[in-house]
Amino acid sequence: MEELVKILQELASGFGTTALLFFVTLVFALPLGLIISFGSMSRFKPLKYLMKAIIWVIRGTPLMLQILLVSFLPQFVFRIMNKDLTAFFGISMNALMFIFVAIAFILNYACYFSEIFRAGIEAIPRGQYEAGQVLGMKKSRIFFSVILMQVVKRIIPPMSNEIITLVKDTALAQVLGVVDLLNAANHAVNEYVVLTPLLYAALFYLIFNGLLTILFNVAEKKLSYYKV
Amino acid sequence: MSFLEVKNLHKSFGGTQVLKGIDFSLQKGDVVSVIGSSGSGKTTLLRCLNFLELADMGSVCVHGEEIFNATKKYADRDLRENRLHFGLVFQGFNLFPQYTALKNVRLPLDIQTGERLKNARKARKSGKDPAGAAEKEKISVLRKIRAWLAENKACAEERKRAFADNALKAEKLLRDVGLGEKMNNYPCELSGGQCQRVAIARALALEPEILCFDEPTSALDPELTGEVLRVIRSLKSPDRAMIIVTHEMQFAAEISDRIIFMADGVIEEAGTPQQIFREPKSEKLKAFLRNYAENR
Repeated sequence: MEELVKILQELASGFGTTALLFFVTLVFALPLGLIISFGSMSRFKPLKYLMKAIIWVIRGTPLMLQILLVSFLPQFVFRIMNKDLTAFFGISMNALMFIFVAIAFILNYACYFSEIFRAGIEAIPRGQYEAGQVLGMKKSRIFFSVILMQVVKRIIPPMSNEIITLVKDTALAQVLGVVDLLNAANHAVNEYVVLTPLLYAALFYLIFNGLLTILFNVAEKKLSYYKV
Repeated sequence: MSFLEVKNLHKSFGGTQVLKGIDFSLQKGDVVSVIGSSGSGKTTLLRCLNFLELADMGSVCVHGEEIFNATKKYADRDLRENRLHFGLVFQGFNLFPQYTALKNVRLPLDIQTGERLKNARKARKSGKDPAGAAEKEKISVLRKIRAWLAENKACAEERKRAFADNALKAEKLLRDVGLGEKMNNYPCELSGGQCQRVAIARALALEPEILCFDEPTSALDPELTGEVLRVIRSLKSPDRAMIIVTHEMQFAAEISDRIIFMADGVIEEAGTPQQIFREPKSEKLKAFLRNYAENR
């Protein structure tokens, strides 16, 4: 019984890290994704192609590789300069690794989100923009007052897909030794020589994703009062 | 001097010339219908008048004031301002689906109110009012904050009042097009005819001097065209001009002071309904009318 409590404590702390990574990624990747999507739809060709190239590279390589690269690059640079990375930033190695993972996740997910935004924005008929224009609205006004809510409604299904994937992808954080939920479960398996921690971890993921699914269903229902 | 004067309007898309020099003018209170087969440039003409497309050549004058000239570059702001002389009702309504009928009509008004209040506040702040500027130097921080809060409150109240006026105006417009009962319905809950009437009310909200209709009944079931045409007929007034691109010949004949027949990007023939429908001169118009009569 004591063992079970201990295991659950470890898992809960791992879940805390997982949840933190999840929310940090969402909070930064959503606006960044919107900015990248604007860039990839820009009429200024160099910007457009730069964004498309970035999206291509990030979507075309494994997330795990990107995590490794994001963490090794600064370590490599600091080694050359003969400086201590943790001392320079003044935080622990664990915290630093978490930040590296978060940066990789944010960049990666921003690119996926940007493509979802782009699809949503491009699906809005031109007539909606034109109706705003003939009513004397500014371009930014048209976007925020007319277009955005229609985009939100359209992208909820693909977004929920991507966000649920994000929950599971957080397990990749352990390549840098970050103790997330799955890493914690793995430790417990080795420490207590039982398999149940893995099942508990699975339960944690399932419940988290179950809650997210319910949330998205509610949002979808809330927006079902109009058709686009 | 004419109220609206369009001179030598040209527009090409890629290599295709769609408008090859359009000249016409109209007076306040005039209703002009534009007829012609598909691809003759009718819709492009309306879009150029509303600056949804910018003409490659030519000019547009309202009240003798040039609001567009293809040789000049216009800032987005100027285009936005000049465009408000015109209103446009689209073939496909283009209502905003996430808003109720009432909110669709209110939105342009509320946005204009918001901008007006913001500009007024900015003007006050920039010290155009010298008494305020002199005062600013003397007062303490606390009083400044208090003044700021008071101004905020005053602005909020002014906005509230203005928005209430907007709501009343929008409600009246919707009642005028016979939709007093449907104000709080969303576009997806309305029939095509009702949607188009909401769109007309929305176009009227900013009181354009020239109201354009781009085939307002072409997307409607035949039994719904009547209600929309009735509304358009009721809009005829000495205070505004209307330009109607339509395939409803009988309606055009009935409502119009003048008819413009377009073919291949030029005005092939123009005149009173009597002249156009009873005494057509050009071969193209004769063929068009024959074709129309046969296909009815």
